Amino acid sequence: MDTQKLVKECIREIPAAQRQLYDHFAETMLGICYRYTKSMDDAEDVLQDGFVKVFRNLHQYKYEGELGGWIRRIMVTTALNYLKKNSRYNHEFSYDNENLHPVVDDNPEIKMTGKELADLVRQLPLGYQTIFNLHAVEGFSHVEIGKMLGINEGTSRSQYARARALLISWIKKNDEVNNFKTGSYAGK
Amino acid sequence: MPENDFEKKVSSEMQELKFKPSEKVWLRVEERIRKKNKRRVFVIIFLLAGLALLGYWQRSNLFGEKGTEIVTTEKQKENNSKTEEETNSSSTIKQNTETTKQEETKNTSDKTVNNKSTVDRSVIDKKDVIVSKNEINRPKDKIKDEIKVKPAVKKTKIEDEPIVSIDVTSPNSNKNNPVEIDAKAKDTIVKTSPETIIKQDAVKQPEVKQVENKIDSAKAEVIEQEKIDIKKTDTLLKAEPEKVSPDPIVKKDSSEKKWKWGLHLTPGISFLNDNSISFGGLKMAGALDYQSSVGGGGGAAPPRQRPSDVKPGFAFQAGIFAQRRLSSRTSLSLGLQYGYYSNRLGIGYRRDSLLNYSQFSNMLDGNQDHVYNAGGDTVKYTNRYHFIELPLRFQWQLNKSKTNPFVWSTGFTIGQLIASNAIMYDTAFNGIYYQNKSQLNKTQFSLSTGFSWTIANNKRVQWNLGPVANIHLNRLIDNPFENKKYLFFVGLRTGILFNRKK
Repeated sequence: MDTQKLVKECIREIPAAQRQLYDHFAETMLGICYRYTKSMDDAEDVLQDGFVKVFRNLHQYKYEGELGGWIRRIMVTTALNYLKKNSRYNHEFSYDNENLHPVVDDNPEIKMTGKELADLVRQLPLGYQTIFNLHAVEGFSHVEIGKMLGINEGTSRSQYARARALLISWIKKNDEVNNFKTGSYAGK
Repeated sequence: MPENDFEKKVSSEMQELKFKPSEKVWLRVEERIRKKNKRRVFVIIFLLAGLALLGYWQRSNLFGEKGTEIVTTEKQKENNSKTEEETNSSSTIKQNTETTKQEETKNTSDKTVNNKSTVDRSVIDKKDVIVSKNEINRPKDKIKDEIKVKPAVKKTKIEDEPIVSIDVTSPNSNKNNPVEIDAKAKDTIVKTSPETIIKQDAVKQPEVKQVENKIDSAKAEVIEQEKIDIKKTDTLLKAEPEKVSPDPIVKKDSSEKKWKWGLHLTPGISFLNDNSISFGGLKMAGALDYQSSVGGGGGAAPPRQRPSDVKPGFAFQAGIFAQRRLSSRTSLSLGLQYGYYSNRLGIGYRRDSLLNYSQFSNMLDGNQDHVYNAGGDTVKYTNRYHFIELPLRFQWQLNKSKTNPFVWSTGFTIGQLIASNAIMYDTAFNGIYYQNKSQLNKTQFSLSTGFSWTIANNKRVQWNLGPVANIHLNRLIDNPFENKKYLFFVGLRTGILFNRKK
């Protein structure tokens, strides 16, 4: 795919090019949206908003770096905005009143697929989920996350630690269940 | 598993996560993209329609009433000529040769008037409105004359009948008292046609031979009376063109309705107005460059700086304009002006070393010299914007004063950015500022409004002063990592309008 040509055609609003761009990136971007939301419908809503922004601002893409990275940034921003604006998520988007979980300083081996892992992350409380995604997956520092979400750096750190601990405990449980099913648990 | 391996494993697994979206997502996206384009078209159509309506309204205000007046005047003329014809025909029957001659003279004068009015009408078509105003004034005078003429003619009619009939019925009655007779014989006169009168005369004459001489004398009196009346009428008709003198006020209007030109200078301040509705993502957007971040993932990267606050800066507009009076209290002006707008922001130290990085150089515009770090207040930078603008303003005088009008104006301006040194925020390298002209919307549409007082008004020039404000309708900066920014200008307009020599 010639990115430059495709972008230029999209800027000229050629429908076929717009569709091609969408088809090329939609699946990956839906994966991102899926991680930040609680349902596939919401993820698709975010994807829709994100692509509208992409097409409206495509003339600002300067062909440096990957187009996918540029679109990805827009998707993450859109997802965070969606969570803030959507009333279903508003009451859940709190960082200070979560139940405390013991910090598990452990690095379990992950035998899960990306989808299974994402489903586990989506079961975290919304605040944990968001911070976990931003730090562990997108690579933001806690300072950056703090600025993005309007919280203290320390809050971000502690929330992440709790999210991580909770997730590890779930992964361990999941492994135990799987081992039990396959019979390897009994052998141990 | 070593430290951070958990995050790495999670990250790699999650990055590869893909789902196929349902088809309805694309349909909605496509619909929204197209809708935006349609909206743009509608806005343009709406603006054009607004201008067209304004133009139509002004046109109808200017010419609509006059057109009606002209038609009315023509109708009145036709009616008047008909009345005159009727009068003439009735009087012709009774009058002798002399009267006929006089009538011919009268008709000739009528023709002269008609010819004149025809000429004037042709002038209306060819010349401007003022001439038509004169034309309008003329029939009004004529109507007045007609009103003066009509009673005289009627009086003649009325006097014809009673004098004769009274002589028949009561020979001793006073001939010199036509008023009394009029009152008695009014109904008969109105209902009786001239032919009937002649017949009646014809019938009565052989029967009343005794009063024949008296009738003759009465007829002579009637003829004399008619002569006087016709003379009066004739005089009035002849005098009519002389009475029509061009109205000096109308002449004054004629000079006012031509284009005048003027100059203006409007110093003020400009600032970038943020759209607060879309501010939800600002803080996040400011820090969202994880892809191009030097530090990449993890907590090792330095904190990313947010865009600096933009403060208002000096601005001014200067230009020429042409103004045309549309009606006594409205006017329209078209202009060409230069607009200088600026705003200030505090930014960090220079990071020109970034220009040497080959991997970053393609990201930046080739023409720029400096890259600045976002955040901090080390450097005070002034973003300057130079525009060429075409303002269209509609002015409405709010008071009635002719010497010191107080005017409210509103208008629409199209501007083209010709130069700028504006720097844009980018989340790259933990937040930098650099020139990126591709993010500037070069064509700007704005609405303007303001008030002005005429502070000095003499024959040659008119000085006015007042506040104005310009709100730009489309974004000046299109940066996905910053808020939508619209240019806003507030200033004090000083204008000088040159009056035409009278």
